[in-house]
Amino acid sequence: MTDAVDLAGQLFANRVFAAAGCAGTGRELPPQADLAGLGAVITRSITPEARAGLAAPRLAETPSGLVNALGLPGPGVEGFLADELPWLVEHGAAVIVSIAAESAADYARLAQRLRQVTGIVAVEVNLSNPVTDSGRLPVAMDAGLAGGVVHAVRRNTAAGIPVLAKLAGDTTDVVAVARACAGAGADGVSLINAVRGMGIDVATGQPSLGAWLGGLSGPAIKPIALRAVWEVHAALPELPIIASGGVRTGTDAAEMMMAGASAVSIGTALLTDPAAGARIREELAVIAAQREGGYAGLLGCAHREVTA
Amino acid sequence: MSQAGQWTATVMARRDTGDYAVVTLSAGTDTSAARAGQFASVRVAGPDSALLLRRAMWIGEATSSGRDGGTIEVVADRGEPGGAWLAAQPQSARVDVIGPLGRPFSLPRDPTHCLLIGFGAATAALVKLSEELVARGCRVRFLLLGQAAAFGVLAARRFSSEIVDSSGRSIDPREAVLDQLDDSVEVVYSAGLAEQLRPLGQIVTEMGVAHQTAVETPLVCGSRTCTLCALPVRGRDGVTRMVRACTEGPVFRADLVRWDDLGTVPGDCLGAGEEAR
Ligand SMILES: Cc1cc2nc3c(=O)[nH]c(=O)nc-3n(C[C@H](O)[C@H](O)[C@H](O)COP(=O)(O)OP(=O)(O)OC[C@H]3O[C@@H](n4cnc5c(N)ncnc54)[C@H](O)[C@@H]3O)c2cc1C
Ligand SMILES: Cc1cc2nc3c(=O)[nH]c(=O)nc-3n(C[C@H](O)[C@H](O)[C@H](O)COP(=O)(O)O)c2cc1C
Ligand code: FES
Repeated sequence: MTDAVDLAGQLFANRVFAAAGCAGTGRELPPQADLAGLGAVITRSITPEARAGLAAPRLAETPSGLVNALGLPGPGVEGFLADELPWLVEHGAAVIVSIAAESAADYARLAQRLRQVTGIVAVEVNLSNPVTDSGRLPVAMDAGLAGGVVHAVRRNTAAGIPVLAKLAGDTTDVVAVARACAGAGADGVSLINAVRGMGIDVATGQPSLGAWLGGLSGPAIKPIALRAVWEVHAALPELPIIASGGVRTGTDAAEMMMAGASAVSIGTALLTDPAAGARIREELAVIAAQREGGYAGLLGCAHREVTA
Repeated sequence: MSQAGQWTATVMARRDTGDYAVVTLSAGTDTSAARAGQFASVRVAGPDSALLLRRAMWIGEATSSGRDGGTIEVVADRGEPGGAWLAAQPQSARVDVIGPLGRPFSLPRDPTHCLLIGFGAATAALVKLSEELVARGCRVRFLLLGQAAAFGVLAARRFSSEIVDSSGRSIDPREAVLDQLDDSVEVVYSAGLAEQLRPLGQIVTEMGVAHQTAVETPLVCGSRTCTLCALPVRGRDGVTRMVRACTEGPVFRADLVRWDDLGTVPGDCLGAGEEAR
């Protein structure tokens, strides 16, 4: 049984990826994270310019979850291409570059810039950052806007490089957004980003995050992610899905696959346990080996059993 | 232990002193490379717990050999959920640890008179520091502030006879520091929560005394990846950057920390304002 998976025409060594923003630049991960052993490393969302990020506090811990408001800090696309991408490629990572911007035109410019370099296996379009600069809802909440951005990115990305749309779990109709993105040329979807949430500090009577609003991640959101994966797979069974949201064991990953995901990405679990990727991959392999048809037997099987 | 590693430690011993528990963890490896000011990141719960995040703990005294290949001591605050979990672990319990992490204190080249100011559990980092300083012929004076920390007095006695214990007392830390900051003091080292260190940062700088400070701020991964721990710190080039407390810190030159701007992204910081565009 091979762990390898074909996603929208691109071959990945296995189905356990590092989720956007949770593997740093790669360089920071301790050796036990085994960068090259991950199916892919999705970078933190790369922005047109360097950003310092939002004011502290940037996090609040909550049972089974973490609410964070980072504000996409990073070196901007030029810094990323100069310092970070070459290092990742050299260390054997399959690099999916996540991009974020404020307008479809800026997304298009980012895609054009990435087109000029080698070493990228896919582009993930972050449409669902919980905290936006404008204070408006994330683009992923609106099927029309999301489709527009995906169209702009797809047009400016080389054929053969899949474009993945990263969607929100707290959209009213995630299927409508996924359908719009697929119609605009998305080769797959990443489900889900951190869910908009907040915390209150009782001592101060104020929001516990500097930006008041943040994104909830970790096991607390797994049921929401599963539901989103399930709905999108039911409606668009041919559209590849990379699932994230509270995956911290091989069992969690298997659940995501059974709901319809082709691969999973690990976010919060990597922050608390850098070795989580390899462990989850091994646990998932054991579950797949026990299943008729291996990984393919897992993919979407929950739907088959419901309709059978 | 020259490079950060992750290992399953065994609780070798535990000693309760007041609000704190001094916990000795097996390191499974040589700990002689761990330096004062570095910390260990401890998973303060089992794999199925709802407490997800690790807790940073200052590395106190470390032994580099022995039956279990070295140990590190950490001091857990029993008043905090994470510290309470660690303090409650019985001997031979298993604990997931990553370390040593962060940038340590740098030591003076020549024998120097040093004032070490510790708040609560952070005193553990200074006890380790005093061991390193005394080995270089430095003279060490301790000032203990914050929550009562009897463990600190006990441990500090091994390296210094000049110990001013003002911990557990409600005194103005600025006055306590000014009392100790006589002309003979050449370098100040401090460790504690950012809000405890803030008033000292300014006065020591104003007195023109070199000051390194080890700052406790909220950490998440503790190991460089999440950037959730960033603080505004001026570089030697004069430019303020948001730097990671867990990586570029937790030890900083106190005169470079933007104490009044902690918790914010100052407008003149590199990359600031992008999110407002
Ligand atoms: C470099 C460093 C060394 C430390 N050394 C020790 C030590 O030796 N002994 C000890 O008992 N404690 C130490 N701490 C503090 C400890 O790691 C915990 O942050 C603190 O005990 C609060 O834990 P909690 O269980 O109440 O978590 P909560 O306060 O509920 O916090 C949850 C999460 O947020 C982080 N967090 C929130 N507020 C703070 C804050 N003000 N400071 C730091 N982290 C915060 C925590 O690390 C944790 O990840 C250290 C912190 C740092 C950064
Ligand atoms: C610290 C942190 C930083 C993140 N940064 C990004 C990011 O830059 N871009 C993005 O699309 N998602 C980002 N995410 C969301 C994750 O990629 C992931 O989709 C989400 O956290 C849910 O998965 P999890 O529960 O496994 O963490 C971030 C999450 C965390 C916790
Ligand atoms: S705590 Fe994650 S980068 Fe510092």
